[in-house]
Amino acid sequence: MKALLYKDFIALKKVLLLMLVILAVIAFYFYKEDQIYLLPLFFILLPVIILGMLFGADSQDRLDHYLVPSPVKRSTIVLSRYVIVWFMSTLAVILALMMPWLTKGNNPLALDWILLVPGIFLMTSFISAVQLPLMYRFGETKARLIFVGLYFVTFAFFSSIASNKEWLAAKLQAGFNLDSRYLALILAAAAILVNGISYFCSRVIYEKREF
Amino acid sequence: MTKAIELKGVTKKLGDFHLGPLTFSVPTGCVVGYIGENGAGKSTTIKLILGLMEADSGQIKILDKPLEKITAEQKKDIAYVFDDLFLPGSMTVANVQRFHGLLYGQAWQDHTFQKLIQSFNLPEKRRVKDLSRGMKMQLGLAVALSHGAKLLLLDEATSGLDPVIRDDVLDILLDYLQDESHTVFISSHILSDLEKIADYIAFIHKGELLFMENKDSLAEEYGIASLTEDQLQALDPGAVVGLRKHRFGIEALVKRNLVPADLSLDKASIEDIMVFTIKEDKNESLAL
Repeated sequence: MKALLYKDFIALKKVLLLMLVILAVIAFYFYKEDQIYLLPLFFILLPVIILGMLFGADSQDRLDHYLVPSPVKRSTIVLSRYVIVWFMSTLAVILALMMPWLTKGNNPLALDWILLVPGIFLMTSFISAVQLPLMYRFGETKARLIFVGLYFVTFAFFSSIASNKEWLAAKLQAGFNLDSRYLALILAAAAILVNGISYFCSRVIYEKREF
Repeated sequence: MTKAIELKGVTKKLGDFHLGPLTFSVPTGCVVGYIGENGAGKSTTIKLILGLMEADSGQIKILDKPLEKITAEQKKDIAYVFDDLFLPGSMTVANVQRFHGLLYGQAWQDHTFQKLIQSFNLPEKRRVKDLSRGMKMQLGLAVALSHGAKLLLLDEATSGLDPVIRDDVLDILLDYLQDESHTVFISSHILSDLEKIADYIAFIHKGELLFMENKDSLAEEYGIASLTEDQLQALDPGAVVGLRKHRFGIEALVKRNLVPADLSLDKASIEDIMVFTIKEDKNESLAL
């Protein structure tokens, strides 16, 4: 695992530095505009961008040919990608937890920490969790195309449920009225389930893959 | 004698191409040269041995263990070099060393790697993408020989290299083979290299193994005869493996034990055996 993460770090060292600079600029801008509370949301897209680059680089170098016969299990190769996503999500959670201190109480999105931790983790890992099995199954380029299709499907879905605004509002209200501990439990279960199913699917796909 | 590689009835179908059934074994301590034309199935065989592909049927054993039961730890005993170095181009030679140190853990031998890259004059700060084809090959070989592997597989690793580097590589392989527990399985188009180092030659053609024989016994078994049309007609048809017709007569690859003892025969090289066999199969015994 360490070797794989080291390899990924070397492959994306410059990009990661650039990302860090971009993050610092955005953080500075948000801070100036009193919108620093939005910063953790930047981490929804960050893992997707990084995963795309890593898959692209590995595919160009045909790295799987090299790694699969090496003393690292296929399941570990897959897990290393999820570790990156979970690391990013953890960073987003830490940033979100720091918000009361950074916003000095001026945070319109303020939530209990008990909701914040699973909520941010689910939000920042969800897209990657959907994307990763697609990348293992279809490769980086095709997966991106499929993902564009999924965006349209999602858009169509939300457009259709928008016609049932009352129903949706009632459901959301019911959700907010729930005890925050129950809601946190639901969010945590959803985060574990989404990531667990995603990892299981990616692993099964990769175990059967031929090179 | 223990077997480093053992294949029993291994088959693989890839589109229209059928590999096998392949049955052969590689004795420990030997060099086996795996030859065949492009698309014959050499790389597919190596991919099956390395677990990059799964056989449709049959059994593969590596170092006396069924392939599917080989653990990550046991994979450290297997080294491989492909026709390209499949490592991130942004890695430097020093990064490659660190990466493999983490990958192979205690099996990794930093001193061996250092010794090899120094002997190859590989600059530690040079990135993989900036290395020449020969340097990449040398780096791949340095990695392969730095984790105490007992079995080394090379898939067209020496193709595209100049004769000097190829000679260095052969020297290193011979050095590696000083340890009797070490085995090399090498597929190559450069048959002169195999003539130098191989103990056995395995010849695959259109997915079928035509033979796997001791290199020296090949020379005893086959010969090249220069014949007239009448002499050819007089020969046992089973003795003729392949023909090449030209304006001065006919050259034939023949089995020595099936031709008259007084027939003058030249020594057949591995290349002769491969070319005559393939051309005959393609019905390309051309009049030159």
